[in-house]
Amino acid sequence: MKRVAGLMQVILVISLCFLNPEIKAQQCNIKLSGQILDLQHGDYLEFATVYIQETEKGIVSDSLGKFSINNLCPGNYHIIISHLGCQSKTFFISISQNLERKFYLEHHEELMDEIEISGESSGSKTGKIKTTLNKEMLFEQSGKSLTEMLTSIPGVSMLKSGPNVSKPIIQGMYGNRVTILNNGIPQEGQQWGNDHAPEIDPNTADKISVYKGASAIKYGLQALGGIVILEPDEIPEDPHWHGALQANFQSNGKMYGGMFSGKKSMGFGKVRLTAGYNKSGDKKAPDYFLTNTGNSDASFSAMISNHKSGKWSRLLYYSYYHNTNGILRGSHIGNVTDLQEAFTRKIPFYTDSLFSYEISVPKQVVNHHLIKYNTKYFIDNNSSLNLDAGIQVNRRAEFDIRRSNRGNNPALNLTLISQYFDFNYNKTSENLDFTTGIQYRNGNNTNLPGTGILPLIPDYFNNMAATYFIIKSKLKYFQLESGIRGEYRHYYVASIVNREIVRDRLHYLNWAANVGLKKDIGPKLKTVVDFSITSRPPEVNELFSNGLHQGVSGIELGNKSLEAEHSVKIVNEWQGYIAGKTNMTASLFYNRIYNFIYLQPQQEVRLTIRGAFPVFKYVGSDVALYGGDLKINQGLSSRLQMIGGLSYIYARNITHQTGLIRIPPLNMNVNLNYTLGNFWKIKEIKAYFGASYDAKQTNVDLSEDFLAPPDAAFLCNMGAKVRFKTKNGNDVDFLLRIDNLLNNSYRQYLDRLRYFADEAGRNIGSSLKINF
Amino acid sequence: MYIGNSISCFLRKNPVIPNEEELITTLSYTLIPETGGSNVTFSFQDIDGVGGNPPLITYVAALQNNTTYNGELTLKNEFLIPSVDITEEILKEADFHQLFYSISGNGLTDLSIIYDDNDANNYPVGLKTKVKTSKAGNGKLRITLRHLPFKSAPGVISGDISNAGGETDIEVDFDIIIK
Repeated sequence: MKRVAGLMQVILVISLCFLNPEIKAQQCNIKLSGQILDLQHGDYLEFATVYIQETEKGIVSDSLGKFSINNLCPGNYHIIISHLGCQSKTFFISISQNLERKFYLEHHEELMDEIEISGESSGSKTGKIKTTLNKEMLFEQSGKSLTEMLTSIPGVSMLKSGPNVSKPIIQGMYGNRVTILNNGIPQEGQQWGNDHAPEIDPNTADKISVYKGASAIKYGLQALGGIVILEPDEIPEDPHWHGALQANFQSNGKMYGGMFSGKKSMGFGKVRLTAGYNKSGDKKAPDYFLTNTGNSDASFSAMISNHKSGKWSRLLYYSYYHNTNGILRGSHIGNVTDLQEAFTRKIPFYTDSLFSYEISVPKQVVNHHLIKYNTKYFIDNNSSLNLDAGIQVNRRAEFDIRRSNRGNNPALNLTLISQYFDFNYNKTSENLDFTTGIQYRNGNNTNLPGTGILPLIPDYFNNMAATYFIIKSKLKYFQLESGIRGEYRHYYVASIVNREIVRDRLHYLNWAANVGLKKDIGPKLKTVVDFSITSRPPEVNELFSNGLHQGVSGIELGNKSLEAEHSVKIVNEWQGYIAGKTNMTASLFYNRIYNFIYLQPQQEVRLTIRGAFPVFKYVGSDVALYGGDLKINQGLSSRLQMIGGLSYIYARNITHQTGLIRIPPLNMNVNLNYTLGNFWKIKEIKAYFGASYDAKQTNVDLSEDFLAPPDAAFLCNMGAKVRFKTKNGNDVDFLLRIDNLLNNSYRQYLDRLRYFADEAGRNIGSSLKINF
Repeated sequence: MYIGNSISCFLRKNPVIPNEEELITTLSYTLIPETGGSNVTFSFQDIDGVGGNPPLITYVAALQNNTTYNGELTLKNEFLIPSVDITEEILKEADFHQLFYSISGNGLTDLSIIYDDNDANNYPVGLKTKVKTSKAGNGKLRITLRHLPFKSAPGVISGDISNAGGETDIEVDFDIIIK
């Protein structure tokens, strides 16, 4: 290999001498040398390709990942580094003298922990494990929703309401108990609703991560189940547009869409833009169309940050997301009789024999805006002040089937305007970092008049003020991360009770604390034990919901006397290599929640002109959840890889001695990956075959649900990703994916659609991504 | 400043109590004997809708045996003042609505309730019915209003609800006695 490298150097020298004689005059004798390393473990990457766009020359690194290029002229260069099994990465470097540096690439097979490469050998001080999906993994799931993408992380499952609406469940918790951070700002939407998906386009992010512990002290008490983080990569100081153009197609629903992302460094600052659009029609279960399940979404984001210099860093970000979701026509019901009748139908009512892109009622239309401003002042090398400010406007309109064309009027029409401010001070030293900050948040929720229907959730205004203190420390044997947070919350609620306005003012003072210990067991394996206590005050929906929740045919009653729920969670996570080629991500947890707030079915049924409806009331119960998840990545040969996953939760309502509703059933999955490089014009091809099994959920209280959980489901999928290179060295990726390969008819316990129809059948997806 | 703004926003926060014009509060089913005699009226009234006070269910007098009645069903929104006749709204969208009358109970197997009206496509609506009694007994009458039913589905034209589909807008039960 050395000889090849040597040969390349000779060619380089020759070409430089003969083809660009004028450059020689500028003292073209600079040497660039470097080593290519794996971002996660620091392993060197042998035989990686190093290609310089400006000189149109490439060389291959040696068996230690080292390379050197001689006789470069002073100037700016785009260096594209590619390695089998990694996403190619472009580095923009200015060279004026001999330069030696390290280049990091990300492997795309493994879930990764947070990487800090700021200091050469300072090592990480974090006491947590964050599991990240990088760009490559996100590309492999192109066309899916944020939640669907997240389910490739073990321990994350989804709560669905038909094919278009899904929200993440982290170790059994969802909704008010999971925080989603969009570019550092907690997402504020109507997340209380089981049929309200997060209002974010995953394509606006470069990487998506999950913390499973409740240790995200900084982001509030709603993160007791875990936290999902969407973030962009830092914009490189590269004066040219770089990014990607992508087109997506899917056979099921005849979905088409595309996205653009681009970054450029300009005079006034660095810019990053993304835009995306998707349109899909009716999905199809194996035996029938799921009529009115089309959807469309559009997103746009823009980010400007200043050049790295001086003591200030500033960043401005705006994102917009629009979504129109059709709800299965046959799932619209008037009362419990209709629901019971729907259970007995083989094919849902109103199933059309023809495909259509049309989205009619019932449907949801959602718009979400986020503006974020971040500024950081570096007091000195070791301390900084940081301010995050975010404003969000969330509009949700839901349309129902109504008499006399009232279907054009939304039945629910909510606007939530919220503001978030976080100001913190950060100090780092050799072995100890600490952050302390204050936070203020508010939310102003308004039911827009004109629906003609009593609102399910009242108008309210809430204020939250908090303070927190977090330390990260490198001890002799451990890394420690510990934090404490105190939070005051105030609700002003103006609800309509018996057609009178009733005003309430409630306040809560709560706190959270955690201790996380991380230990490196050898160079490639680490483990974390995180212990956290969180007290979450009840949310407005839990306190004040009042009325008929049409979609589930139940009357839901809030409970003003609810107090905070107290969660104690212990998580033990493992990540890394347990043997030569065996990579593992594992998590074991125990979560005890005192006064766990949930909707409990009541003995009472309420007689209305539509018939008798069951009554559900928010109450607190003591619950315990035990579980674990595991992902093992076993290299069988240099090309063949087997990835196995398992997740299981056992949940118990201790007060009532029953199971808990909406806990994901046992899931097992296995994938075989085969990676092949460099033949014909193909740089890399990765083919996979996977199988997944969801057991039947048996640990449930049948009196809490309308229908027993569905049977176990077994699904197969396969796909291939092919990488080409453009003339100037950029990657062109093509993806072909087949989900539900055998076109099985099945139902999912955690999908409301199960009451009415089968899940979507076979889907062939393809995507083309051109990097530039 | 922000806090101030937001609080003043709240101070102006006066939720609009929606005008529930779609609400059906009152159903009355009046049976008028063809050959004269006193009317029999069934009524279900829940003026404050879902929640609040429980509904008021009344029926006046028993049906006479061996009698033919003309049944007339009316729907009202009595929450609005003045009250609004929803029957009109149903009639306007007659092809999107159908009422179903189902009887349960030992003694009432011979009671027949037949549609006596049609929509533009010659399918029944059920606001007008003919009721014939031929045997004494007692049981239950369930009146169901379906929105967007499949009127052409088997049996629906003769009042069999099982294939009708659609969403239930009304489902009320009455005790019924035939003397």
